[in-house]
Amino acid sequence: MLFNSINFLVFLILFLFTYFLLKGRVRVFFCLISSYIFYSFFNYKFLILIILSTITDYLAGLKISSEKNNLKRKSFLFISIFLNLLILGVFKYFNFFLDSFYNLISILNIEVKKIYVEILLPVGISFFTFQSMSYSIDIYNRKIKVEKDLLRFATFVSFFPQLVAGPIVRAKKLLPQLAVFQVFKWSNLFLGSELIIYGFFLKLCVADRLGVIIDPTYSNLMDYGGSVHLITSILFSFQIYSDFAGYSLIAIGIGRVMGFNFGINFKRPYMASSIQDFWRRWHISLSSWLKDYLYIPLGGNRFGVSKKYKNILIVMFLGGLWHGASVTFLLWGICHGVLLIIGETLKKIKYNVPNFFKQLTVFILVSILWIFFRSENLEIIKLKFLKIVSFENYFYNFSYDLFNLVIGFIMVCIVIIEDFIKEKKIKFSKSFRIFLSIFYLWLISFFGIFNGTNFIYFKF
Amino acid sequence: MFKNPKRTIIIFCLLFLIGDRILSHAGVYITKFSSLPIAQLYNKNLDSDILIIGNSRAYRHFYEDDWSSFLNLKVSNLSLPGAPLIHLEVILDDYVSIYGKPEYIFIELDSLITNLDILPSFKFLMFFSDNYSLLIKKYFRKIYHISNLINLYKLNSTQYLNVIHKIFENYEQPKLYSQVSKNQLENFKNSSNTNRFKSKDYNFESLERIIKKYNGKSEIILLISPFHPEVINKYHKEIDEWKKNLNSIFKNEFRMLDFSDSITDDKFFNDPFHLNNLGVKKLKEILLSDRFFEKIL
Repeated sequence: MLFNSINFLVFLILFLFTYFLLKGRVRVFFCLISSYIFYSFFNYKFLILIILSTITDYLAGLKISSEKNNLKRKSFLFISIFLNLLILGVFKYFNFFLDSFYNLISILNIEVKKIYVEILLPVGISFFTFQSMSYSIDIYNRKIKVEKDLLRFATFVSFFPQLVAGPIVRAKKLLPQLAVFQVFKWSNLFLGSELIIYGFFLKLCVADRLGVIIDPTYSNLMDYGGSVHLITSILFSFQIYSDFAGYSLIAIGIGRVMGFNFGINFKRPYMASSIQDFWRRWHISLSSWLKDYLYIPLGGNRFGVSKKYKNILIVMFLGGLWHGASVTFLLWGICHGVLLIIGETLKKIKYNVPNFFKQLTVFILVSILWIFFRSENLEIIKLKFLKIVSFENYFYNFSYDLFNLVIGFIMVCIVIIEDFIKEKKIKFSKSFRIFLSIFYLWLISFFGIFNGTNFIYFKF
Repeated sequence: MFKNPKRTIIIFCLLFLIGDRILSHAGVYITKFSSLPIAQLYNKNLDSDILIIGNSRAYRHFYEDDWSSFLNLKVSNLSLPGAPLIHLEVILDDYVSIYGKPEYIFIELDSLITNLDILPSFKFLMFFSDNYSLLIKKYFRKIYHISNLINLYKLNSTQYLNVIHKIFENYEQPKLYSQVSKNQLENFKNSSNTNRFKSKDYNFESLERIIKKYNGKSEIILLISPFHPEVINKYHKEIDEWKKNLNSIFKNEFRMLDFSDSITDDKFFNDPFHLNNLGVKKLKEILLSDRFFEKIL
């Protein structure tokens, strides 16, 4: 059930009415069942994976917290991590690893018959396994108390607003909120609705509109000149931002209406003045997850510069791999790692550059790397870059979709203005904010694309 | 804002709906200035002697200006790419209710085959045509209700944007200049072999209604424009069956001009189903030599 569908709208309204009518454990149970129903609309068979991950981490959490022996605590943590990674490995990376294995043995001149297994990727697998796994790690590190209530824990793992594409909300943040009875507040309804409306604007008016322009240029590369590839590469930066930030805002908004605070997942990433800054603003819940559960345990910046750089590269490599089982994602992650290291080095040099130029440089670099992210294979990346830099027939087929290009451009301008205003911390009166929400609803009605396009991050 | 939340919600909804109505009506008003035939039709600027209706094949194959000059009559091509006949019937009915019956109505029969997918993209017509609204209500109930609640949604379509575009640029019937490639034909040959030539019931019923309503008052001419020989080869059985069926019902009462296999050279085709500019000129020569056109001329 996609957020951008009538079915979900009906589901949400019915859910919220019932949710506020119920109290105590019945309400938590209702949340759990609703979340399972929500997930079943994608593929009910994969519910078993969520349940498996839930039971594993629930039991591991109990054992880790009750066990005094450190070795045994470690082994229970290992079981939890191993099982979660196994689910991920089988459903997300199996064919990728198999392919890499075949490539390796072909280098060694060994002939084998290549066999691939057709595996469907469960929606949101990377999100709920990471969310669930962080719980066991936090228990092991004694950062949180064990959750003895299975019902509450299961709801934490499968909570529907952020189940399929995040934000990844840690146990420390969500479990205590699930334990409290959330009363209905008008302020939550207004603030949540404001976020939901803007989230839908980002998804339906910006991301999906830009998708109409961008997708053909990737599927039929040769049909367009360099100028089209250049423009669509820049626009893709806004498509992916609007798509993912849109989803996050809808999720956070729904949570807010229910009385929950999931935190923020995007903080105007294209206003970043360095790559480090970009990663503090982009997909914050994943970046902070990787920092806390990977970068710091690897040693972080505690063992000298070379070790720090190595850790950055490992984290960004795995961050790339998290997005998908493909060389293009790995390259994207590694390149970001290299840029982060360059950024770290440049920090030591004092130079006086206006902030705008720093922001522009970061945006250009990030946009270039989005080409790696969007392309399905290395050949497409190569062709895309060649097209952009070769000036032969540069404006060929430039006006292939002028309508959508103009509308997309206007929508992008609105996003930039909105981000700029927020970045400058300009506050609006409440009545003006209401008017803005109405304005976004008009834009959605008139410019929104309602063909049920999937969110890009669903495939991760 | 939170002191009187219920009032805030009411004001929010009212403001949204009032703005929605004002903006959408402004959107409808500016269609008056569009040169697109569909906008001209409803803005009372399209009185014609001959009407041509059909899907993209009729839209591409019959140039209004050419026809007007060689027949010395005002010709309007109200064909819409992807339109099923049931949709074109609505357009025809609306035309007749605004301008009265034309002398001749040409119906390209490929629109009998077209499905309803394209219908919602013309939802701005709900502002102009009750017949169209009823069609949407019948086949796309969800869209009908949402559109009536939020009027701006009626304008949310590429077809409406097309109307707007033709305010700033004068409408000219688009022409195709490419030539079908060997690769395209090979792909077509290898594509799945589902039966394309099967009239949809709703379109067939629509044709019967058109005949019942307008036969005698206007001259109705049923027409099949050329297909690439590969289409004929691939679907020869289905096409024969389709034509046999149409002939058995209509031939005795109506003139059915069948040009389906009248052009064979690749150079006249843009793709297997559409003639290019050269092909359209060739078709014009063939039409002019037809006895029926000699009569009009």
